[in-house]
Amino acid sequence: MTTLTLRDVTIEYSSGGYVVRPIHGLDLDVRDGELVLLLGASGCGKTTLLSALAALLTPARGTIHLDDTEVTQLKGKALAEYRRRTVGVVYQAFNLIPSLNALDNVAVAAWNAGESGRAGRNRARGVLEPLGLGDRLKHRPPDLSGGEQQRVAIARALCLDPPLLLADEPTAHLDELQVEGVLRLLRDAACPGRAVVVATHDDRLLKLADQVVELTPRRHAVHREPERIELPAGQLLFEQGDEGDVAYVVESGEIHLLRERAEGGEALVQRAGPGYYFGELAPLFGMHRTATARAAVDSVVNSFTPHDLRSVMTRTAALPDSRDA
Amino acid sequence: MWRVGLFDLLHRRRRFVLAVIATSLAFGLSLLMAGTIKHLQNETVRIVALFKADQFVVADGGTGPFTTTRLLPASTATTISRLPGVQRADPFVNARENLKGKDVNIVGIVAGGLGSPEVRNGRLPRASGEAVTDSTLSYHLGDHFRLGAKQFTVVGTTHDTTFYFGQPTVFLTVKDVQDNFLEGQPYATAIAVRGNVGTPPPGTQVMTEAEVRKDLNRPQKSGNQTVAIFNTLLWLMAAGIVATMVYLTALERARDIAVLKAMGTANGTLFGGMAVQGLALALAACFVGALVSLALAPVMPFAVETPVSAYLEVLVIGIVVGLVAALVGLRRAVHIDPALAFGRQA
Repeated sequence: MTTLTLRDVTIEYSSGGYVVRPIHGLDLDVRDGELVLLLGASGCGKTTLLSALAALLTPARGTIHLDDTEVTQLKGKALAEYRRRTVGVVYQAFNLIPSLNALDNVAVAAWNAGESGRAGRNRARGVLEPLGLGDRLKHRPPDLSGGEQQRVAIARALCLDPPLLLADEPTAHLDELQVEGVLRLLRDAACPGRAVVVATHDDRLLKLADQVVELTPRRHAVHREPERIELPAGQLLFEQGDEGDVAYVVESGEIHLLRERAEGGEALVQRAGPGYYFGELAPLFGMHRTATARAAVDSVVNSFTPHDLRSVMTRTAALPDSRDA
Repeated sequence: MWRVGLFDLLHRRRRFVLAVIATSLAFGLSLLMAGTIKHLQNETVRIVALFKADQFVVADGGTGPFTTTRLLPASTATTISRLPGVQRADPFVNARENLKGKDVNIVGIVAGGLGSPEVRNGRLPRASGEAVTDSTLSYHLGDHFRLGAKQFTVVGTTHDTTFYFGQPTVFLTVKDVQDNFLEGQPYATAIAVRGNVGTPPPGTQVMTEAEVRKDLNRPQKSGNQTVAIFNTLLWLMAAGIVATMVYLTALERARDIAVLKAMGTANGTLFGGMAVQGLALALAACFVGALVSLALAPVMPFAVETPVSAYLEVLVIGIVVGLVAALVGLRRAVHIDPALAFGRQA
């Protein structure tokens, strides 16, 4: 039985000196035999989350349990053993080793676990032949089609029969014919004793999934009347990482847009004065707020849906530049 | 996992071959220089041993018998031969001359006495105008050559009698050397002695065989040190080439290494793979370098006598170089973030 449990997982890293937090307080339960899709646009944190599940990076907060193993606490030999035997990873760009043929690319997983040269190759052959690659064993990656390379990559990930299989955009570089075979393999890999987590933005995979996790919140067009908001000095309008439905135009006063620094504290990235608009990207593209907005002095702002903001802009055609927040 | 390193090396075989060629030249030159130094040391040992003397008597205040410019009367040999503990004493005279465009050592000896070379063809010089020449001068029996105003006939040839930076030797009678180089004065450069002189005659000093060898090697000392420095530089160059190759490979294999680390490969295992590459490269270069030195030895201006120990030394250096190169590669590999396998920058 394989059960993957994520609780309040927050992953952050530094980009350009600022904190980026693609995964924020995520809870997830993956049951044995399930195929789970992590769905979302580029940059929403799918691959980052897979990296954490593969124990390649440690979340800033929260826990990841695979059965009784607390993945985020693994260190040293236990961490190496987890990466070696517990999790198999299929990468977007296949990441086969160019100097090795298909057989050895799979056998490398067995060699890495301490098996002898012959035993590793026998095991690899046993995984590759059922995948229809029996006649391609001696071919190196450049001599294989994209679909064949992806099947070899899946074989490598499954070589030691890990209880958790992760796949990052497994259909990204494949044509339709090749996609079919890879999808079938992934579906078959999700069986009792194993869970499969696939990160993708390919909608075709939706029908295969037992569970879909949308990392980019799907926003439906909402109609909201423009609202006039009075903010006393120091009042928070929204925080970095929040979801947002509306953009704002400053009527009076001054709003500070602040971004969290990697080394701690906040950096002022913009002073928004009267006529300045901000915060339109979050509702437009389903992104989280990338900055915090706080009133520097007693201020008044007006909130608009992106659609209404466009109408306002067309009417006034004189608003100053905006800042992505 | 060493296979991964080996297969990667084969995958990059063109670069491997180029690196082996460059490194082997460094190793080959190193072996040639070691062989040259060894030859210089050996010829000193051989020329001193040729005299079959236990001691040498030279003028007081002078250096060794092959380097001194102070002479002593040749008759001193007769005085010494009468001393208790002395079985035999023979004078010899050294000079230098140019022959066939080469600088040569001229040694005047008493035929059959101490200092007589082993003649390969012919016999020792017994009369005026007779000479025995080293085989490197390429004279044959009956050939003639001129030293100053006097013509000499080759009555014998010998070999391995070079000394003083590989200069060949011409053996004449003591009298001929005195006539040609000392204007007929009855002087000798030194007296070779078998036995123990005890107290030397006034105005002379005694040197042992070992002291004579040390004295003869003295002018070569700075040359040997220079060669040793060059050797070190060549080894560093070889290490640099191998380390650069392994390091560049590690740079280019960053994604592969990230994938291996994501699969739980330990740093020690990665080091093993890189050590295979470094060692294969360094040892192949050692082998080719040995072949290069053997091929170039005959065309070198100096005789080359590369000892087996030099080959072993290069082999050990090759192994050290290979392992150091692997450490350089590992240093890069350790800093590769396994998350790079997913496409994130390290």
